[in-house]
Amino acid sequence: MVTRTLLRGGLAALAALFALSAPEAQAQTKIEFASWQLAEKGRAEKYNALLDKFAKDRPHIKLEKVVIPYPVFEQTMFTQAGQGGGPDVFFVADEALPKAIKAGFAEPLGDLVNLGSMNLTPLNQVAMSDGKQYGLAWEAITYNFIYNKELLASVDAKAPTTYEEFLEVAKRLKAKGVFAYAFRSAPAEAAGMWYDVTDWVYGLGGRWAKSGKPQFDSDPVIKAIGRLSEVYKGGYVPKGVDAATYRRMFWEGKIGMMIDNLSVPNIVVSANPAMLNKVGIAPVPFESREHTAITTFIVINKHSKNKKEAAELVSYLYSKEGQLAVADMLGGGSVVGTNVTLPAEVVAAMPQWVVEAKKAEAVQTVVSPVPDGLAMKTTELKTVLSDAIEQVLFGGVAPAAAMRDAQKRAEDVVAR
Amino acid sequence: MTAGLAKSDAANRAAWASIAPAVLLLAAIQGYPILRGVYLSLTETSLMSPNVSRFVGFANFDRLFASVFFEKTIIVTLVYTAGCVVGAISLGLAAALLMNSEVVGRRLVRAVILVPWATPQVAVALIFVWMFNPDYGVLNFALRTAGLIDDNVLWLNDPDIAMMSVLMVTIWKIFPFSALVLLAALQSIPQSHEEAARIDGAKGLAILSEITLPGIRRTILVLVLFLSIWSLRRFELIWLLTRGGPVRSTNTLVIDLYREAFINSNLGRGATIGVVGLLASIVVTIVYYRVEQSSARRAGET
Repeated sequence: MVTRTLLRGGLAALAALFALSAPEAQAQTKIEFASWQLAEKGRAEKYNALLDKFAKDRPHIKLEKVVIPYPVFEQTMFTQAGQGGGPDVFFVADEALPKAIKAGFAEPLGDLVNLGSMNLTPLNQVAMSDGKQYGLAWEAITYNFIYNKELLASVDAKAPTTYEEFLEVAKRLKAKGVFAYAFRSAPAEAAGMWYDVTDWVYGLGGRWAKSGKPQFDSDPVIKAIGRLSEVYKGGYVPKGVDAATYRRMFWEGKIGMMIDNLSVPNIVVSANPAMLNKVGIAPVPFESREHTAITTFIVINKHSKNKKEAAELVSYLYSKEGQLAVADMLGGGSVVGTNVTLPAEVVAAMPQWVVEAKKAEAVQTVVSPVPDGLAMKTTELKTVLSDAIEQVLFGGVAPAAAMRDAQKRAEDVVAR
Repeated sequence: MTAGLAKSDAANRAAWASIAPAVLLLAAIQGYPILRGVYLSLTETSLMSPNVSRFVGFANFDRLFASVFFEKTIIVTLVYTAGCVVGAISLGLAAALLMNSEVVGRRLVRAVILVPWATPQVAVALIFVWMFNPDYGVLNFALRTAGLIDDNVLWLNDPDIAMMSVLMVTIWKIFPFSALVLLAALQSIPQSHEEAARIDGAKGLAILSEITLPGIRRTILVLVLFLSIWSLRRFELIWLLTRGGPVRSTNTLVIDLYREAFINSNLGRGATIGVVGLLASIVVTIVYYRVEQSSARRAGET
């Protein structure tokens, strides 16, 4: 009898607990935010703090962070969205944005957020189609010449300004027993080679495509691939490395020079604070002074069941408070999508490499890595290019022959 | 007579009824995906809108067969499959013979041999990528220290060597399965056969070729079938090691399928490669059954 009474009492207490807690639990709406940056060294802490603050101030929203590595990010997002799913808010790189818009994954933002209040920069125009804003620019990040000042000084060299000077510095570094330069040379990183090679091509005034016509067999492209091959075969680069490995080698002082995006100095200094004053930034040492940049956009998933809450997140991230935090988090190497001015004390505290980066960018012109008129075909063209580069670097095929073959394949891709 | 037929019909119906759930289940979980794959191969379908397809007949097959890379992909697939089967069975047989012998530490050998099989494929691939690193990998370090090489070997970057490297990793990973299956087969051969042969004066290799191998022949055939089909389908190891490169030297059908369907977003063309892979698996299975039947006939004749 006593047992039964106790049991009833316990059950009643449990029911009361559920009754009290249920309304609060039900009121929370879950949204997912996917990015590859959430786990990046040097950024993750501030990134998570920014998102945690958003969630803390909005108890009705349960924010789940989805971290997907960059190399498989686009593919994962598009596969999920293609099946009618995917995170509520996610990143899209510039080359994938037209595909996302065409496939109907990106929700027009005009009715969801107050675009007029966001002080957006012209970068955002890329995400417009048929007069609608489908995404917002999160970050534009340029590729520049990044070098180890200490290593170059040890061979009595400064940042090279021409390819010939670059080769001369490379020879001295090789003689010293360190790798002069690095780029993705592992077959498993073939897709990333596109970015590594782009500055070599743009540096000679070349383009991957013009007005929808591939330019793989143009003189600047062939010459650029020839130069890359010369550096690879000259023994100046570590062979078979991926991006994570050669960046690590750089912060360990085993590599003298790289052409990489400006998030890398942050990663390098975060991993090895002793590199803070050793990282130098200079213009890419090629003829045309044209270099590339990757712009990342943020979109609300068309399939999201909680667009209102997703829009709350986007509105917060693009508020003045959010953009200041984003600009601080991304570091001085990136440009955000709004006209936000960092406080003077923040700018003053920025490391020397940021100052050098600003100077370098002032004398260079940014050109999108997306092939002109062929944005929808970028992924397939990347495969064609990586096949050609592998033939040159690993298969002993002459650059001109490999790129002529690549041109035919690229034209076939375009014709489909 | 009539009563007998009626009884037989009833038995047939009962038999069909009893296997119907299994048939329906198989049709649902195997038949539908296969038919869907075949249908997709006849369409232009994007990964980004998989429910919208345009029927194109055999155009995808025409394009695939006309591709300059298709022949190489088939050759690479055959080389990889044959290498895996021969390597895994040879090494597995050696390991099984060792485990079946009276060597000291036999139990330890059995436990150690299982390690590769138990290790996750992703971990295996990442560890080997590290070991294969031309400049810092332990393999080149060991070979240089031993004075066997002067220049670093580009294990995964040289088109002439990459397939061998991928095969080494794959065989290391899968041979324990062959070893265990062959060990079970070896233990089913009556000891008396070997003893009789020894009394007749037979020794090591003669016993292996005349007693042991014939005794496990059917097991080897089953292994050939399984390993062939698994190797035709193997994806993770190759993808993580080389992505099918360099210069497509490790680009098997499955890698091509993945690239086409999930990187280039062409589900229809990916499915076309899948259908070719399916046909290859069917051919292997038919060949197996033919060999098995002729083997059984020969055993019956003798």
